[in-house]
Amino acid sequence: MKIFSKLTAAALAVACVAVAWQAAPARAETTLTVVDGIDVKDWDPAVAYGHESYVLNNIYDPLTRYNTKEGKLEPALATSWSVSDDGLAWTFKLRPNVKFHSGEPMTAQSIKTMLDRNIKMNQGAQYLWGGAEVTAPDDSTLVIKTKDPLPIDLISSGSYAAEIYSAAAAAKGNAWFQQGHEDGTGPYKVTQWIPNQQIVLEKNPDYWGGWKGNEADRIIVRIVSEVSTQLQMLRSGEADMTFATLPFDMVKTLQQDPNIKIDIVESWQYLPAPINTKLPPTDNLKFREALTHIMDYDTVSSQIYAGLASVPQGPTPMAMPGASKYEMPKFDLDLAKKLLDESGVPKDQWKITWVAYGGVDVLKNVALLYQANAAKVGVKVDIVQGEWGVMWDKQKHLNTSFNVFPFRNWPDYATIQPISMFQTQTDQNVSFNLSHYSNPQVDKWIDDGTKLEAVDKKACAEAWRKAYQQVLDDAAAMFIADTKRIIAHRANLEGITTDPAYETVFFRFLHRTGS
Amino acid sequence: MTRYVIQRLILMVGTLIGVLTVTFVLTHILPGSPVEVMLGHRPTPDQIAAAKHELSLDLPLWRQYLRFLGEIGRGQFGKSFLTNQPVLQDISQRLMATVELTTLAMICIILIGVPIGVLSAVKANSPIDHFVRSLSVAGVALPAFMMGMLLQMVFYGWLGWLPLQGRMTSTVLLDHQFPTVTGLYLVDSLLAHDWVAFRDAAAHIVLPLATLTLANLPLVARTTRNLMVEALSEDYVRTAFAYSLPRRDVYFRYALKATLIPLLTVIGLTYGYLLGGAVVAEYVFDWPGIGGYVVRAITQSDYPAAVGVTLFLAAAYLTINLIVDLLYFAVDPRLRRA
Repeated sequence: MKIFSKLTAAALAVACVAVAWQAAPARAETTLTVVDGIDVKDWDPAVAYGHESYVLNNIYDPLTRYNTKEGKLEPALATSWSVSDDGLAWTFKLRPNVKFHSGEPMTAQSIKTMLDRNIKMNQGAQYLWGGAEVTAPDDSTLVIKTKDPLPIDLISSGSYAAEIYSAAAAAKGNAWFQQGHEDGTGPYKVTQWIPNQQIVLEKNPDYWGGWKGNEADRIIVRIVSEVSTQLQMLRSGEADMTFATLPFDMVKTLQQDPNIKIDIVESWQYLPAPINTKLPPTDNLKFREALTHIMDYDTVSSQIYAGLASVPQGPTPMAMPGASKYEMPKFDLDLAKKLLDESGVPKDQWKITWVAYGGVDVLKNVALLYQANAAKVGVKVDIVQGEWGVMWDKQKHLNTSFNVFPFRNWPDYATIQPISMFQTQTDQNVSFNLSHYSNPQVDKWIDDGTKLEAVDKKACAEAWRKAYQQVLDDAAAMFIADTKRIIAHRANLEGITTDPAYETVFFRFLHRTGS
Repeated sequence: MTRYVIQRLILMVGTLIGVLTVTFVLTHILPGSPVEVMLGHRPTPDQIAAAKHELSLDLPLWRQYLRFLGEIGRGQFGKSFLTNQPVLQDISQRLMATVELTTLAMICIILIGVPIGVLSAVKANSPIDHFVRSLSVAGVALPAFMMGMLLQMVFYGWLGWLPLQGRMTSTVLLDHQFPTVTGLYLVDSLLAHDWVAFRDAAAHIVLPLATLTLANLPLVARTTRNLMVEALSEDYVRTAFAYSLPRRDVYFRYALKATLIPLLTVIGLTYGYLLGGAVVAEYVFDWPGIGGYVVRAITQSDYPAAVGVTLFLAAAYLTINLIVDLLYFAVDPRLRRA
């Protein structure tokens, strides 16, 4: 007993000491803490093609930057640019006296080296460059030539393929990046990465965009997987901002907390639901049309998204450049019933499968709402659940595919191009044409528009408009909701600056009230 | 004895190959491909085909398996699809976080569970016994995640005494960097004489430690109690009392000793379970351990990570069992003589 008593007493003593000494040291005044649920996976800008862009967009700059509010491109690392008449050669004039975080000066040659690497690796979103050929006639001039006319000015502004890093970093390669290293020109540089725990960014004093003086010297991105824990940290003031995807029903509760502010900002994210045009019974046009009238679009936006989404006015979100309004199907069960009767599909075959992937509450709730309404007109909806990777893979192959596949979508750069979702793709080659849709006329319009995107934006928009109209006429997809982004932060944090073109908050504008 | 150990080690290798095969086959025959997850937002079909080729996913299963065995033989577990880091590196970074938490939890479970089990048995059917037994039932009944969140609410939310999550405070982690010797923050910070870091690490481990301890304590306490009740009814115990030996000696030197073999088995199994089963506490407290890693790997078809961790945990489990079996020899002289 003696030994147990002693050991127990010792253990208790250690616990007490820990409790007594727990007071966390005071945080430096210019340190901001941001919490997020997912760590950076790919530090290499040539590969990164996911959630990590929220960090990388604060470390790297693109050549051009898209300003959605103004609807135009603005200079970033390039101060001016032009395109040849045939749309095949783009010339960028580079900003002088810009240095990478390592101190290496930014030259056209260094950008050529990194772009060559990106294009050769052809990973992530690098396909956007279309295998371009890059030359550097002098230190401040960069020329990008493509085989087909591509909107290189827009692609250069993108969130994924366009981050500029140094030639020295390119030479060190992927393994070096994956240790949490970087060499960008952006406002913040990485000083520490402890996987699954935190990323520490420090102000780049030589940032070409300059500083006002009240910005954060240090930004700590803390990786916290549970949303409820993130919110507790926010409530207590331990965190200044969260990138969490907040459950929509929690927004109202949070808005009642005087110490917390919720910013609802525009987004290019939307919820299309491709309808399988090859799988019975949705291979029948009238049946598909009927399905588009069973969706209660208003209730989805006002109730399921708690008002943080809007009813789509077209097949692309209205916040996107070049988006225009279309006559969209309305919730009308009588019309749906009429179309179902006219479809000729026997009543005992009025059954469809509907995917709700990844345990995403919103998708599940949309599916349940649809299921309830469909039952009123005699359509049985089987909701199928599973991980995104698994379900997407199944949907790509016709023999394992489902009838309706809603998924969250957003463009890779400022474009409304319909290629990935509606251009013909063979069964072996399907990526995002999840309707298995094929219409030669639509293919032609899409091609025509794509060729014009670089040189004649108006004519391009017209061609794509025809393509989208045909897609709507063919009821190849439902467009369920245009969603917004929610950013929860402490009320004393100011300078929350976002642009739907970039899935991030620009850290360089963040500061506390009064600082 | 040596022969026994060698036999067990050979058996262990066989078991591990079995585990390896089952894990490999299960992860590969389940539907879905991890490549889509690995490649990000909107990979092109060419990129998917290239990635599948690079990872040999386009080969027949048996060829993938042979290639995989060859790689494991060379100590190559591949790269995790989800973190894009070598699996061994991922495991080594996370393993010590789990070991630190679970080992301390195990120590607490033994130090608290065994004495209260003995107390409960000695005072069998008294109010103390009923209290301990009720507490044990409550401990088993309350899920670990609920326990963790309740502790967070009380000690972080209301009292503000202890930190909410993580292994250390962000700023301490940044400003008090200490060299990694063991990967156990408490030990490494002590070795570096960094008291700020030690205090911070200690404060962070208290709540997850309490959660794991409270969730697993009842099993050890109840087992001890039942074994002790049985031992106390033995003739030699009655004789010892008849000789007026001090009660404490009778309880701990004679009765408890007799319960050690089954008790060691339970403790060994609990420790093995804790290594992989700390996942709930790790999730709730964002403890960057191996449990959360393997769960994510399994749900998102991250084969290399899932296989790597499973193999590792199986090896740890088998090793713990081997050690427990060897301890039988230490505690039971009859086995040594046999």
